[in-house]
Amino acid sequence: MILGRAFEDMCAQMYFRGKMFGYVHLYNGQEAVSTGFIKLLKKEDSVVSTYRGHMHALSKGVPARAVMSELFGKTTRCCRGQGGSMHMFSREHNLLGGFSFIGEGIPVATGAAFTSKYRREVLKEADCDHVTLAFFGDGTCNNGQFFECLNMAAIWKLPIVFVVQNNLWAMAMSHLRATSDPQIYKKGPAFGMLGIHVDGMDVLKVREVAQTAIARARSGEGPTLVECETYMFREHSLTGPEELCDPAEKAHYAARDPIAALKRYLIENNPASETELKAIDKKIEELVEDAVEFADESPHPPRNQLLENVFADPKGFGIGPDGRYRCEDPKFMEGTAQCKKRGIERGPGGGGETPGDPSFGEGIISPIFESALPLASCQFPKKFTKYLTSADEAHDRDVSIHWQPYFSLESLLSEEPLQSSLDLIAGQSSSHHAEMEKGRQVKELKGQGRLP
Amino acid sequence: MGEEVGEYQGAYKITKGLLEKYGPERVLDTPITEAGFAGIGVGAAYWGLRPVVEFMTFNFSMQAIDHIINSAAKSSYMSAGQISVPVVFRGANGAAAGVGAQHSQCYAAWYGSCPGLKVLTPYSSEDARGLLKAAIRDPDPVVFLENELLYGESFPVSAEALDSSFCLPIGKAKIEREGKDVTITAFSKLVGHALKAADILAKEGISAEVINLRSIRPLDRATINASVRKTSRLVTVEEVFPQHGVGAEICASVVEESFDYLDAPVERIAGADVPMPYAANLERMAVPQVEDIVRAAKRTCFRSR
Repeated sequence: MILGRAFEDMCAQMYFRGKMFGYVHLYNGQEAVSTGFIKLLKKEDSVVSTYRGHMHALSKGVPARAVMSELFGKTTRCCRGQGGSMHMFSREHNLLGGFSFIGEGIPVATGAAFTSKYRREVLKEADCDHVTLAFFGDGTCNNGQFFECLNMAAIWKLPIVFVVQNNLWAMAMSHLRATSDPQIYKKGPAFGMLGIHVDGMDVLKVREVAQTAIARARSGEGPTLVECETYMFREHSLTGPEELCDPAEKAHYAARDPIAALKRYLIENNPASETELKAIDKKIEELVEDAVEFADESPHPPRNQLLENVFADPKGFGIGPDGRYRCEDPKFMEGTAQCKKRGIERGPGGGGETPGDPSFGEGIISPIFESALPLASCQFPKKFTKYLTSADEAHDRDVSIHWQPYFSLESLLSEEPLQSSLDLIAGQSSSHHAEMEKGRQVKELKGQGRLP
Repeated sequence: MGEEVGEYQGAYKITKGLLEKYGPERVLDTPITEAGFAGIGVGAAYWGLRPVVEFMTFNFSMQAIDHIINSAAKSSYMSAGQISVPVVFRGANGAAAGVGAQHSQCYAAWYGSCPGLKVLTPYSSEDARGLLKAAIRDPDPVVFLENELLYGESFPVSAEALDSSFCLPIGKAKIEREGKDVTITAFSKLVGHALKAADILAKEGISAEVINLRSIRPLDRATINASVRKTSRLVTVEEVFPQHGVGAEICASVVEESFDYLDAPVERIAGADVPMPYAANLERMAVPQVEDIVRAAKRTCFRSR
């Protein structure tokens, strides 16, 4: 919490000295929410935040140096200066962004939670119990995307916690003027999930509630909506004018400063002494100064960085290991009409001039049928077993393969080392699995009389 | 995932049989929440899954355009390559028959102007098959614009296309018909119109080269310019609003790169600059017809005589 406060104060100083620019939104006063929740997470859990996201990045473990140099627009670490204050991403720490549109991060967080559940139940990664936290404000709770995601997270029981940082103001719009029912936690039960309200200025209470919510998500019980009543000690953003809030309200919350409150608690109940706390203060001060120095000395992005990273794969389809387009590679076209068997004759349309001419609609569905990998050991719940064909059931007992290679008829008949066109793309050569799959395909084709 | 893709077998029956084969955990019927499920698709793609998100029509994608542009297209850049978004947004695009103004817009130009997205517009079955496979395998967000009126139309395909590894490159246009007098560029349904126009023109002694753009972004400027340098005349054809459209971009590209080779001003055939009317005769006037393309091609050919 002290790191967050010191960092944000330093941001304000740097901003007014002209080292940072654009929009900067500070988190002073709300530290208890970020710390209380994020410090309970594992490294693999994800956090999705908003434009007010410096502290979420710091809590999740992104080094202060990286965040500061991102804010200065320098090229070292974090997003190489391409994201800025509002768009902090870190693959390593599973910080999936800073989004500047409010409500935009909520569906993305819901998608991350969806992936966690999908990996556990469909891809069978039994130890995947990652939880996602979505942080957003009171103003967002009137936005359509918030409700859409509460609904979908509840129907699909996704491992997500929706954390509302209710600081009573959305820029200069009071929460009470903008919302028909200002008690946000009540919106949880309306969608069939647990809704909890907590004092967001008390980090220990937040932590307690966070433990329940995160445990619920991890155990598969579904989402939780947590409303943290908190307050911002600074204005909405460093560029804006002072807002319309009442000085008495500000004073009321200033007296409940989460850092001061925790310090008092620690000293009174003896887990720490004043000297120890002062030492922490000093250490953090040095850390933040070091971050500023590092950012100052970091280089600006070079000119050639402007056009980088627009696409993950700039050439359109992919470059093969020999440096040419994969699709120009003649071996890529190897293969026989396996798709006839898989279902290119299914689909809509039909009625063509020549029977067997695939329609446009069939042209769309066939790659989905083929690209969607049959996952061998999917165990569908009992009531859905009627969707399994007997070939799938037989396969279920054999082996668990994540990537099923496609083989040409010649390679199935030959004794040569296996290399399928998909291996070329995926760069995988899991020969044991490939062997098992080859065996299965040979058996199937023999059964159909297509192989001797 | 999308609306009605599972139990209803697809709003246009495109996804028939998918639920049966892959089960409800992989083929998701969503509630009517475009912004929500487009965002969920993007979030899942951040984590390495490869979702295919269907919009019943791309008109509905306007409710989710924030996610397509801001969370999908821009993420690779904003995160300096840490996060790639291998998601495919597909669905019906452009004018259908008699569906009115809010269901008839073509989004090629809007999505085509945004860096970070790949935008594909298949015409034939072979295009659809090859491009969709390439799109799913591509590590970047792809907007795949289909056409409702083409779903039932059949096309002959080469034996290569039936191969299960068949893919087409993203960013390359196809010359559907070679010619030497005038270049006609088109995409999606209007490629069919352009080919018919080329047949009519051939009877009058004008040999038209028809280019099927296939990929709006990245646009295959090399093929278009090479063709214009060969024929010296250009007609661009697109279905919907002319201002800031695909034809405008092609015209600018040709003027920038092949100005000296042009023998006539570029002709731009587009839909009428009005929201699509409902009445059948008005609708027919609002969308380019084969005769319009023929007239434009003739204008380019006779101007310099």
